[in-house]
Amino acid sequence: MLFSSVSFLFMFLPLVCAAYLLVRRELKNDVLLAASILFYAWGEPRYLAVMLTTILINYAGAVLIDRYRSRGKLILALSVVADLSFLFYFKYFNFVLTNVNSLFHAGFEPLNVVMPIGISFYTFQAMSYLVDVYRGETPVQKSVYKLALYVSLFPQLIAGPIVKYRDVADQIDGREESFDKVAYGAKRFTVGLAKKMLIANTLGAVADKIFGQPVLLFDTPTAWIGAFAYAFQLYYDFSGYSDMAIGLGSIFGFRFLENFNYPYISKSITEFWRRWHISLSTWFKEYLYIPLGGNRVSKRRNLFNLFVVFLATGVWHGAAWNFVVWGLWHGLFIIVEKATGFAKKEGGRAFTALKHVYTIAVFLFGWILFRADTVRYASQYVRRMFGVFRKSDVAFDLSYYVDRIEILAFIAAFVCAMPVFKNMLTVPPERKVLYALVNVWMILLFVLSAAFVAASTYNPFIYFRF
Amino acid sequence: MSLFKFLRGEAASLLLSAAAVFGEKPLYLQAGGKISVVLLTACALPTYLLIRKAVSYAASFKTVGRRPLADVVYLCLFFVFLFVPMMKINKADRSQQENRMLAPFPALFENGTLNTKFGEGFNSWFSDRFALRRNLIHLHARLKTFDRYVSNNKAFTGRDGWQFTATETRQKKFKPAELDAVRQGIEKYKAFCRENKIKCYIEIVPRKIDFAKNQIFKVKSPDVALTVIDAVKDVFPIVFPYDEMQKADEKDFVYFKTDHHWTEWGAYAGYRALMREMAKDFPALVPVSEDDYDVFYTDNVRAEVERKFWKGQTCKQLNLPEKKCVDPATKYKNYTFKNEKDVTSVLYRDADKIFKYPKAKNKLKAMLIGNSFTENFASFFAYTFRETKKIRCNTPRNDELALSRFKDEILDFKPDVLVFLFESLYTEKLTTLKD
Repeated sequence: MLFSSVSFLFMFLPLVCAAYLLVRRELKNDVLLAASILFYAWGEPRYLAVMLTTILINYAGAVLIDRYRSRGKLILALSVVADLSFLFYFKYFNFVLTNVNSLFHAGFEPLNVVMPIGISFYTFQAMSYLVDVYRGETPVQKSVYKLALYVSLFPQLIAGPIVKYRDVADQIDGREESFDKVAYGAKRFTVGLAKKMLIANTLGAVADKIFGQPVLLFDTPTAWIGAFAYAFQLYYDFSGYSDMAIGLGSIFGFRFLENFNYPYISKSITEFWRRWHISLSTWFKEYLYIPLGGNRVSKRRNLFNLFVVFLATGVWHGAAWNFVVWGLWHGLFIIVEKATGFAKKEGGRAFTALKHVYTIAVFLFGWILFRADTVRYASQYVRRMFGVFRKSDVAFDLSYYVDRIEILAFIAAFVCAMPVFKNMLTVPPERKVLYALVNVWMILLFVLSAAFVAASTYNPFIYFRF
Repeated sequence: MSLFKFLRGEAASLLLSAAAVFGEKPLYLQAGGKISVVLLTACALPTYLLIRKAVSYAASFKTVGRRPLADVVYLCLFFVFLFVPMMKINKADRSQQENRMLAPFPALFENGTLNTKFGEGFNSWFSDRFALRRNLIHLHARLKTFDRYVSNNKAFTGRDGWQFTATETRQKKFKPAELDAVRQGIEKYKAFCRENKIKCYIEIVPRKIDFAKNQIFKVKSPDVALTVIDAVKDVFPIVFPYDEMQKADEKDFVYFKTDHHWTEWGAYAGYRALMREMAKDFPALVPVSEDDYDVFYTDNVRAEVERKFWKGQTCKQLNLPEKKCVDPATKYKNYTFKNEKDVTSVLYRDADKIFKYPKAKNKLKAMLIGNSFTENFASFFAYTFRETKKIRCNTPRNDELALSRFKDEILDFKPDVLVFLFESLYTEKLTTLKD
């Protein structure tokens, strides 16, 4: 079930909110667990078994680690291998098989498997729990239901943020819901929904129109617009989802850590990764980079560690070479910045502006790798952006791809990517007029977003092709 | 209209509709106005418990002083908006506006096992039926039309009221292997026609975007149909009435602004081009002329088998209100055959028709196979011959042009003339001639 679907918004969410807010305190976790399992099983109940098995493995693994400390490393290794084997089987097996086939001209049949939704997120959450128990950073959770709630909690189940167990352990055992939290959560949810429906989907349609065509069929300005449209789509889609997750968490009394912090204003790629998908980069830092030695090793080893982390980041995002290349692309610039100290260098306005341009260029070309179906298409696309491609077949100019509503979405995307309205949700109630205006704006945003959600269900049958 | 008026209007409309969700039907406890004590108790008890729980819950909120009124209002509206859509479910089976059946409620168990697609089915069912759906979709359409350019993933509006489907502006290019397939298919049909002494013709109608002038986008790539025409020209000359239609376009619209079909005037230009080609094989052929028709103008679209006048399919795809689509200043030329009473036409299967016109000037039998562009075309073609069979090649079940599909029907009907007619966007289907 998606947050931006009609069933979630107008059926699941109100019923769960009502049930949750009205039941006795001791039943609240049960309501959330039942809702989370229903939420997950709604789209494809068969994969519920995979998630429940992951929960049981990690529950048993942590209990055993806690009980047999001397053999903790072995139990941890076995549990992590079990977690990763699910991930590998569902997400990477066919990718590896395809590459083996093309490399050795073998004829292995790919498996007929569909990746369970959210498997990358909940597997990483579960592994963080195991490692934290092993490290003694968090006590073992004795209740399998509470662990199940942590892994399957529906607000962050399918698209993060990746919540570490130690950050929410206390909240699972005892948290307080309050009017303020519910109000903040509802507003945060509205902001996220608006980001997704009004900006991400509008610009996504522009990006789809452009990226869906051979590069021969559009001109250079169109290629740039396509790249920016996709960059904004990705940011508003993902951060919108995170906002909705944080908002829902707040309604249910949780406090999740922020996942985005205006990444597009970064002045280096190092800074970009401190602001983009913070929960993932923190996860890799704590559970991969630091165990590899982090920066307390030789400079060469440190750069190698960074390379490994970004290779893993690319692979985590998807089983395709363009994701691998995308991860390495970012890793390359991080390594260069680390080696030259570029990220820390200060300068005048011109230098700062140059740093911005450099960062935008790197992540923009990175997103092209991310969006393109193949590395070849990405390379052709970049060449088209710089006009290095023959132009004979250009079908439409830019005005075909972007109408005024979409231009408006571009402007909104550009402005909101900067911390202009950062404090909108934290305006103190004492500033009554501004506070009321923010709330009116929130209501308007919610109705507009709901209209966009509803419009996605409008599906006339046209007697055209048939 | 100012933005404020627009928003005020939409807000009022939404609130009234929300009220209607509850107020449309008076709530009777029992037919005849008698109150059932059991029912009353059954309703009152949970209501009391719920209210008591809600009040006690509200009282237990961790409040520090008074909460801002703005937050109270916001939360109330937020939750009302969340709850209202499930309060009234549309029970109709069909949507007139969307021209389709609404999704049925899925079974939880099928053949004794859990239906794993229940969630998906429920989503479709609920998405088609929730309360305020129409209002929210209407609000979305109004927002889109606030600006005069409208677009969604399926269609968009250009200048001067012209509307286009997404597919109309994107053509798939042919690969060499596909062109070979087309060529082989055409040769196969040609041999079949020669063997059965039938004269065979193909006409491809030029695409709409070449006739919509002064648009915000500029069309730079040539029509893909030309690639095919060029690839098979030595085997089979395809009629492509571009010049005739451009000339006709100077006088009247050859395409509808709010629909993807050609007008009857456009179809007449295409008809004349085909007749010129046929005259090479049938020198005595007498085409119908405009004098055989009563000409009239309408601001509506007529292009499908039902011959109804309406606002157009592209307009429908954009979900626009009728007044946004039907422009009284835009008039389309239509024709009524003067000797209509002498013609019998029978819709014998889906959109397939047989026309019989004993008084036709040509005593030939003709077969017309094509997509929906044949409908307006038949207004002239079907009155040219003694007997005409029109077959729609694109049906929900099949849209292929393979000889095996039509062979028996052609041999059974024994036409003197066989014509394939479709518009440029359908050209890709020529690859299916081969199979």
